[in-house]
Amino acid sequence: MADDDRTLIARCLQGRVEAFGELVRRYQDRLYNAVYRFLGNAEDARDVVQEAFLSAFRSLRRFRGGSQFFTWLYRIAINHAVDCKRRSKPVRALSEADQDHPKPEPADPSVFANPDWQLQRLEEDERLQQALSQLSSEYRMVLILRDIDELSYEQIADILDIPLGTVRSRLHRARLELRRLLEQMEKDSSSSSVFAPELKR
Amino acid sequence: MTDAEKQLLTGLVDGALSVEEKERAEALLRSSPEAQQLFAALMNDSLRLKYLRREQLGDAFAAHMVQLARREVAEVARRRLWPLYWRKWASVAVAAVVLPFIAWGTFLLLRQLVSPPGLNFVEENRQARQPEPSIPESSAAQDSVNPAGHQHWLTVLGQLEQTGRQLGEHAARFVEESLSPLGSALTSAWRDVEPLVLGDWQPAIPALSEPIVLTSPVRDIGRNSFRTLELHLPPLLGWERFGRAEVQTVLAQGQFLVLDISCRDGERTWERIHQALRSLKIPTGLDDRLPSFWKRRQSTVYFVYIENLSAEQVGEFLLALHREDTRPGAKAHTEPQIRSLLVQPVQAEGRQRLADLLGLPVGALPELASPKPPSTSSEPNLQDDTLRKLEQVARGQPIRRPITQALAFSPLRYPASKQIHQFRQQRGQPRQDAYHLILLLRPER
Repeated sequence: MADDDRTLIARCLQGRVEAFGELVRRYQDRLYNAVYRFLGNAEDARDVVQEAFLSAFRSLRRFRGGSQFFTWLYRIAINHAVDCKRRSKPVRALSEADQDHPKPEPADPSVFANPDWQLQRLEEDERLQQALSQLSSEYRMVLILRDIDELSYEQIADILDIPLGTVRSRLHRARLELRRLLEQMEKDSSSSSVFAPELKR
Repeated sequence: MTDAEKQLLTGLVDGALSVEEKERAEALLRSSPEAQQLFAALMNDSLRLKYLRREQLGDAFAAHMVQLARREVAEVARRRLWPLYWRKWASVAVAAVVLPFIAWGTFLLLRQLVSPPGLNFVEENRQARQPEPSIPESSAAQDSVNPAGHQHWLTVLGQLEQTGRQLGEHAARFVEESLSPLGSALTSAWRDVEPLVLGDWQPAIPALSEPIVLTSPVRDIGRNSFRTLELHLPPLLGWERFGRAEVQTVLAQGQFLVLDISCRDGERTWERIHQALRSLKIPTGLDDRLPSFWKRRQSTVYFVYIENLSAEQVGEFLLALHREDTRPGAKAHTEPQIRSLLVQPVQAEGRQRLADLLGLPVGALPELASPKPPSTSSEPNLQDDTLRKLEQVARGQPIRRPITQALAFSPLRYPASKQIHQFRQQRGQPRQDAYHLILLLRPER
């Protein structure tokens, strides 16, 4: 565990709520992005992250420091996300969800200043998110942790509480499944574009 | 392709193969176009996931969480104090229930005092002795009935006391029975709550009856309580007077380096870098997405990766770049573009990121090495080089001569552009004794 985290946790246990705020600030975006990609809904993701932080705060005394703080936090957040997924209604597409809620600013706004580029990127993001949403929860989570959060196999095994071999085999199957879904979507979109001029007429 | 072969490819994408597995995967990639296609697609998917739009919750979220945490702390403190309040209020409640009975008892007593039963007894006697009305009543006759009245009074008082006690017991039992489920519920609820940090809530401090003087023994004066913190910052080199001394500083940092360059205009800086590379006859590729950014006047960070340079070439390149950039001219756009250089050796994370961006396995990039004194010789380490070639021949791999080349590309690229494909095809195994530079350009506009 990082020394900084340890210091902040110790301060938090001494009763300084501001130290907890610092921990939140440190991990909120990572956690939010992972949960957002898992649930596909900005509002639910925000609620889940909030719940996860509160649960962590409530049981901070129980955190023994055996694992890294953020893997412990991830485990809590994933449990909440899975619960939320179970009881929530079917997932809406990201674009639909984003109409209801203001979109958070991207990390580097200058990069996306051009409308064409922004549109293209949004389309690609949406297609990828759709493919992700069609994966099973197990495959989706393992891909998010590996590719979006860039966690090691050991960290993923620790968070999901599964053996290393299972991480590897799940990742293998998840990658092939995602490829199959993306190919299928590309095929569908190309076949629909063939008919598009006729439809216009 | 078999599932085992596919597993090798997914493992290669993750960079999680053993040396032997990696060799098998690379052999598979050399021999099978289908495997190459699948690997490229998987790698591309992985990169697309990696560069998915990132959202930010902002400082407001952290502030909101702090507020929630404070509320949580206050709630726990309130729960913790509740049993104390309960005990205090329970005694008040018992008193409130018992007091009316006591008042009623007192009322009965007073009533008895105002009209004592002894007088009633005399009145009854008087009525019974109606036929002798002429006989006057004496005070002695009254006195003679008083002992019986006192006796009665004692009995009444005894009964009253007994009734009051019984009522009090009933009331106490009633209060206890009605409140005990609440008490046990509170106790169990408290048991469920994790004893939390009390946060900013502070218990009331009792007032001190007498002033207390706190003294501290002087013990630690001899001990040095200051620790020295040593910071090793990477060298930040100014550009105005960039010369041979600065080149030596760059070379001393290691052989696989990041030159973090802050500059005015991205496109004009690239023109100067390109000129400097051309003067050294180094083949150069430019990712076609970058000119489109520049055409739209869009400021973007970008990379220039230059592989397999000798120490002399590094020096010549940097000095040529300085010459190109500081060449005097009449027009405003000929003013120097580069402001400063921050030099750092490439770390494992940076190496991984570069491999991701170029779509190469990490092992295909130069190894990370510790800094060493600058070498003035451009001769490669022949012994190592020959051994490596012999190993490649033994494995049946073709020997590809490492070439010096450069590539400018955007970190936002996906899928891989034509120029990146070309760069990958042309490059051989990097020379271990050569220098490799990643120029990270951060334009202001």
